[in-house]
Amino acid sequence: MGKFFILVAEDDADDRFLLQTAFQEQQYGERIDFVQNGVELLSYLDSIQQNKHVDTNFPVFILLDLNMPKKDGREVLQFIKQHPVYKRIPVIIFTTTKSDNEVRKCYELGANTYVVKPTSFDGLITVLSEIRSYWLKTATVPA
Amino acid sequence: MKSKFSYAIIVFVVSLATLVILSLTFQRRINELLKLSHSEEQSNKIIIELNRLEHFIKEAESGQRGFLLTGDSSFLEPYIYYSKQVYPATEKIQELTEDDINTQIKVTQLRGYISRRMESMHFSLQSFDQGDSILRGNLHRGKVLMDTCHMLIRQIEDEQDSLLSKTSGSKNILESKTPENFRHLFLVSLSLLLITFALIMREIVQRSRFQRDLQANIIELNQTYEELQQITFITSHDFQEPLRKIRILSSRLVENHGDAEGKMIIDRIQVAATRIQELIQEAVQYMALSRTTEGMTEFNLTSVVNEAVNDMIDHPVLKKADIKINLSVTILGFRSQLRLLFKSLIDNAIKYAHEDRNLQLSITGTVTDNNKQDEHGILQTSYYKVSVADNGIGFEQEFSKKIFQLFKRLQTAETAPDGKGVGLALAEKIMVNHKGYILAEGKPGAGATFHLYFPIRSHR
Repeated sequence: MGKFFILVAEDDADDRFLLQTAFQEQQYGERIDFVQNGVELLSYLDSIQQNKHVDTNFPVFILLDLNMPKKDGREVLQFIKQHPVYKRIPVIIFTTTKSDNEVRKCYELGANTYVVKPTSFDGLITVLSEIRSYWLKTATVPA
Repeated sequence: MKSKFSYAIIVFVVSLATLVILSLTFQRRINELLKLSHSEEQSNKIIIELNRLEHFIKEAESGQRGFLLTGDSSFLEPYIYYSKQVYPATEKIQELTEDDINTQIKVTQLRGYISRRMESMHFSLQSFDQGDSILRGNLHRGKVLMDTCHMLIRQIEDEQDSLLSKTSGSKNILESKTPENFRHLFLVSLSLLLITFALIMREIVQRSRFQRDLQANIIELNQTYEELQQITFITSHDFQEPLRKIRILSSRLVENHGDAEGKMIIDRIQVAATRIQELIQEAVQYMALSRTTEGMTEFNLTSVVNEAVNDMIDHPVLKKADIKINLSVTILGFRSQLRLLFKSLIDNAIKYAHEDRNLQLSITGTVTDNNKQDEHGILQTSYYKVSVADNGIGFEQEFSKKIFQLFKRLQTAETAPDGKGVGLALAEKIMVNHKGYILAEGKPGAGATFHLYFPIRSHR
């Protein structure tokens, strides 16, 4: 299990703190890594790609916030889903915005799931455990 | 707008009429002049022909006389030549006088005398060797005939002369009057045309100034609109973000660190934050109605009302409610907006339902001839009126306008905790988007009715 990890792209420190807390509290075995904007996310993926020979792998899934500085979530989503290698990584949009337009656009760009950020800590834990159990246990993903 | 240009139409018609009169008069004048010239020409020709005829007879006579006096047959040559010309000349005169019966009678008379005169000449020549007494008598008769001919010719000539002087008189009058008349008419129509031109130019200048102002206003309006769009976007996202965090962090605080009082305070913080968030969401929904991208479609209103009811059916108040829907109309409109409109009205009925009785909701439609001027002063006569009536707590009629204002509420948060003061503002805006309007009727303790007026003919 140790080599599995989840990548979170989130510019907001509070949200990172909350996610980290929720993960620790639930004592999930996976590592959780944070990047703070789209550019960082892409360079993170590039460094994995270059060190392929070392025992590292791509994240099990990416939690992607839509509104981020530098490169925002939509641009990153589009880039990942058009990239020959990265496109197989499941991308879960994790955002405050709940407009029909935005949801449709994200799925059109290739998002695997669209989740609106919960408004309570309990809700956050529920959402996280559901996403995690779906992508780690229920779904079959390419090795 | 129509009355402003009516003078132009009047002046155009007057100018056109002037032109028509001008050309008609002109044509008539020319025709008269032509007729006069023709008759002048005719008279002149008749006179010339008469002179020629007289000349021919005289020449024939002098030839005959020369032969009778001398017996020299060389005199017969002019006689034969000229006497041959006489008859064609009389025929020509007869032709020329065809349209004048009086002259024609005289010409016929003249021809009779001339032919007798010519016969008498011929007779004199034949009776040349038959004794003087016969010849003399014959010559005498010839002279009498000749005098009559001369007299008739003079008469016809005089008549033609008097005709000529009459013709030239009226021709002179016509010629002197015509240019004056034309000048007057021309000046009238020219001045009319100039006046119209000036008026139209003034109108155009005014309009182009108005158009410029309008364009400036539109640019300003667009800027304001864009600002509003930005605010809408900021509210829809950036304002909600910190609120969400207040809620999630305070929920965490309750779980880990709260004693009883702390829990109560944090609960209140949460309720307040939730409320702000909901307000923002509804305000955003309200603002989004200004920039609809949805196209108008035609659909049955009943289906939209049914959808709206189904959206709300899980609400306990609505579950027990008695709902009557009686609509039969197809409407051209924004379907999703109308669904939202009926949802808002049903939601309103639920929120302000009477505690002591089950909700009774009736949605009925009728065609009405309610005369009402819209905000542009255009009179609409035919509306499809949809009345949404409930038996809830109602309201005082004096507030029937106020309830449609955004965030305006008649109840306090304690008596109606769910109300936000957006639903009815939303409903009004949607009716405006459909070029209709909404009116409210309330009786405290008895219920409220909302009348929606959809224009049947979309106005010009």
